[in-house]
Amino acid sequence: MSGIFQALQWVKEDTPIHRLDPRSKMVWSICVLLMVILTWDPFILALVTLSLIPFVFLGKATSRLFQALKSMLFFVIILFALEVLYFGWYFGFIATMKFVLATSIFSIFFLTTHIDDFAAALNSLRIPFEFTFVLVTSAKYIPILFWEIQDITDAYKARGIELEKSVWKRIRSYATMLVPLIIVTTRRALTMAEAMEARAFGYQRKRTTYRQLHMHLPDYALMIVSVALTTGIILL
Amino acid sequence: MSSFITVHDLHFAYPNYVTALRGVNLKIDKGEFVAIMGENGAGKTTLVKHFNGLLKPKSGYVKVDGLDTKDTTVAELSKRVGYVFQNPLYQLFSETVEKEIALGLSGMNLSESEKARRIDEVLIELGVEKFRNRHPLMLSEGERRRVAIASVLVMNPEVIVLDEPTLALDFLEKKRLSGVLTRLHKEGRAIILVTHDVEFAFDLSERIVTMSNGKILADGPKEKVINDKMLFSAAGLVEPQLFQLARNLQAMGVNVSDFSVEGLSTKFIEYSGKVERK
Amino acid sequence: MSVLSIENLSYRYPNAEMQALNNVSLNVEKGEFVVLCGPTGAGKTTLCRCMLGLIPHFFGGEMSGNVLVLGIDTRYTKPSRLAAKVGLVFQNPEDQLIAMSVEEELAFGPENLGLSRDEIKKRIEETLSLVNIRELKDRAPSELSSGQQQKVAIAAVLAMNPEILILDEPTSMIDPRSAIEITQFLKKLNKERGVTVIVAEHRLDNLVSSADKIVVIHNGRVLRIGPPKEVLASNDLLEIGVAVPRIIQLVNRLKKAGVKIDNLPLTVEEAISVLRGIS
Repeated sequence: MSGIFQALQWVKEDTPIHRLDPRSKMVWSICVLLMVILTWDPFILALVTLSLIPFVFLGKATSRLFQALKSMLFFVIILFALEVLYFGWYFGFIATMKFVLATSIFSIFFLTTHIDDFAAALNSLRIPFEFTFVLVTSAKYIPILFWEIQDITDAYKARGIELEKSVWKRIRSYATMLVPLIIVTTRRALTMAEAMEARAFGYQRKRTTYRQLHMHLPDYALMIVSVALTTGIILL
Repeated sequence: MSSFITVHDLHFAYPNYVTALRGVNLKIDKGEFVAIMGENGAGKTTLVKHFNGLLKPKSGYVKVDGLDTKDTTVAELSKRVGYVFQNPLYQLFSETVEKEIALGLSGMNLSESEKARRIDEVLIELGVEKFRNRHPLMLSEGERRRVAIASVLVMNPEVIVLDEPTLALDFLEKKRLSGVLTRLHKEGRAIILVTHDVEFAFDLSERIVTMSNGKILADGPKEKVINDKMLFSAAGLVEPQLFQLARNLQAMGVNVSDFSVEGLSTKFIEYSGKVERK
Repeated sequence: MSVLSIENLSYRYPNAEMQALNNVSLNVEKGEFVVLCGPTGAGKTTLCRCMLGLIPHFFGGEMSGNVLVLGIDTRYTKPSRLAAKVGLVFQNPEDQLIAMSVEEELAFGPENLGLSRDEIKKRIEETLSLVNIRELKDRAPSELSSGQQQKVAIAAVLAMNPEILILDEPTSMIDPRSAIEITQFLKKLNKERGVTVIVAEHRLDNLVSSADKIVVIHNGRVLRIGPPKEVLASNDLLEIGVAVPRIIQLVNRLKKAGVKIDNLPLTVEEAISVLRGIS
C-alpha cells in the first residue's frame, strides 16, 4: 500500500530531469499520456515505453518506480483478468499496458517534480491560488495521514481485539478505526484554517509567489519534441 | 524468579528511519514503577512498543509473562500490558465513554455482568463516572486521558504503559493523574512511564531508566540517578529548577538530600530555627 | 503607549452553555512581556483568539465589550488584516505548518501580504538567523521534531515583522529542552527587539524571570494582574491550578513559617542567594 505513496513522492536529487521546469514536464506528460490513451497500436506503445526509459534512468527513479509497480501488482493482475474477459487476450494485454504506462508517467512526473514547483507551475497558468493550495496541502498531508492510520490501527489492536478473519467483521473494524481519523483530521483542518488567518491569508487579492520558475533550452526542446511527435503520431 | 518483562539484546530499526534500538537489556518485575526517560529519538517509545507486540524485534527477544512477543498477537499481549498512547484522540473510537471502555472487553470471554461490573469499577477509579454517557470529544484533555487509561485498565493488565501522559496537561490535571497512577501502583500493577517531564517522573517512580541513541544509559533507583548530574545532560534531559537549586546548595556545603519542596522547606526551616505552621 | 486594550470583554462560543470570558479588562503597553496563566479551560486560548480578531470573525458567538489592537477595533477588522501587525502562534506545532519546506513556510505570510520577492527573500534570511534555524531551511516541516516545528512556526509568524507576538501555550506539546530555548528566545526578542510578547502558558518556571506582568485567568475572569513577585507572593494560586514554580513555592512556604525573606526569587540564581542567606 505504501508503495503507491512512494510512487508519488518527490525525491530530492539533482538530475537533469529534476532540473527541468515543471511546465515543460507537464507538457511532456500530457503529450505522452494522450498518445497512450488514444492509441491501440502495440508498436507505438512499445516506442513510448522505450522513450520513458531514459527519463526513468536519468531521473534516478528506477527503484521507486519498480517499488510502486510492485505494490500495485495485485491490482494490475485483477485488472488484466477483467480486461481479458472484456476485450479478449490481445486487447486485454494492450489495455493493461496502457494502464501501467499511464501510471508510470504520473509517477515519473511526481517523482521528479517538487510539489511546490508544481504549485508554482499551476499558479503561472493562472489557476486560482485557493485550488492549488488545497491540492498541495492535501498532497502534503498524505504521509502524515499514513502515519496516523498506523497509530490508530496500533491503538485498536492494543485494545485486545484480534483482527477478524471474516471480511464483514473486518470492514466493521475499519469503519470503527475511521472515527478517530476523521476526528483528528477535522480538528487539524480547523487549526490550520486559524493558523492561515494568522498568517494573513486573504489579506488582499494580489498575492506574491515566492518561488520562481525559469524555462531553459532543454525545457523548450522537450516541449517542442513532445508536441511534434505526439501530433505526428496521432495524425498518422 | 524471572521477570514479568524481559528484554534481551534487543535490536530494532524502522525501515527508512534512523531511530533504532541497539542492544537493549532490561527487566521489569510486577509492581514496579519505572520511568523511561530521554530526549526525542532516544528510542523510548520504540522500546515500549515491543512490550505489547506492536513492534517485533529484529534481533534479540522480548518476553512478557513468559510469552515471546514474536509469537504472540498484540491482542493477546494487550491483556497483560495495557498501552496508553500519547494522543488520546487516536484511541477513542466510540460515541460514549461507557462504550469506549466496553470496547476493550469485546475481545475477552466474560459474562455480561462481569463486564458491567468492571466498567463501573474503572469509571469510578478514574473519576470519570459522571461522563459515562458523554461523547469523549466533549471532555477536556485531562479527562480524555483518564478515559483512555480507563479503557485500558478495564482489561485488568498487570502492567500499564503510558507514553508522555503529561503532554498538554495543566497543573491540576497532572496532580489528578499522579493520584491515579499512585493508586494503580498500590493495587499491585507495574507502571511504565515514558516521559521527559523530569519532575513528574521523579515524583512518582521508584526506578529511572535513561536512554540515548537507542541504548540504555542508566538504570537504577531514583535516589541514585538523581545525584548524577552528568546523566541529565547525557540523556538530553532538562534538570528541573528545584534540582538545580538543591544541587548548587549541596555543592556549597549545605546539607540537602531530599529534592522536593517539602523536604527542602523542612530543612531550611530547621536552619532558621522556626517551626513550620501548616 | 498602549498596544492592546481590552475593555469589559465577555464572550460565549456558539451553542455553548457557559460564558468563556466574563468582563475581562486588560491593558498591555508597548514592549511589555505579559504572561497569561490559568488552568485549562480558564479562557487563555479564547483571549488569544480575541486579540487577533479570530473572535468574533472566525468563531462567531456572542461578544460584548471591545478589543483595541494598536488602535484597531477587532470587531470591524478581519483577522487577516490584523495578522500583518500581530502574530499568533498556536499550541500544536504540527497543525500550523502548511508548506513542504521551511523556506516556503516562512515565505507564506509575506506572500499573503503581497511583498516583493526580494523583500520576502530578505525576510526569510533574517528570520532564519534570528530564530537560529538556518540549518532547517530546506527541510520538510513534517520531518522535524516538535520543538523544531514550533521554532519554525514562530519564525513563520515573525517573518511578517509583527509588533506584537502572541503565543498560545507554545511549549505544552514539545520537549523541555526546546521549551527552554523558545522561552529564552522570547526574552531576547522582547528585550533586544522591543517586540511586545504575550504568552499564555501553564509552565511558568522559565517565564517568570522575563515577565513584566502576569495575568491570572480563572473561569473566564481576570483573577489577578501584576508583576510576578506580587502575583506569586503566596501559594494560593496552586489551588486554582496555576503551576507556581517550585522554587517560589519553597520560598513562600518558608515565608509562611516565619522565615525572614525579603525577595521572591524568580530564577535559580536568585533562589540560591536567598537560601544561602538562611543557612
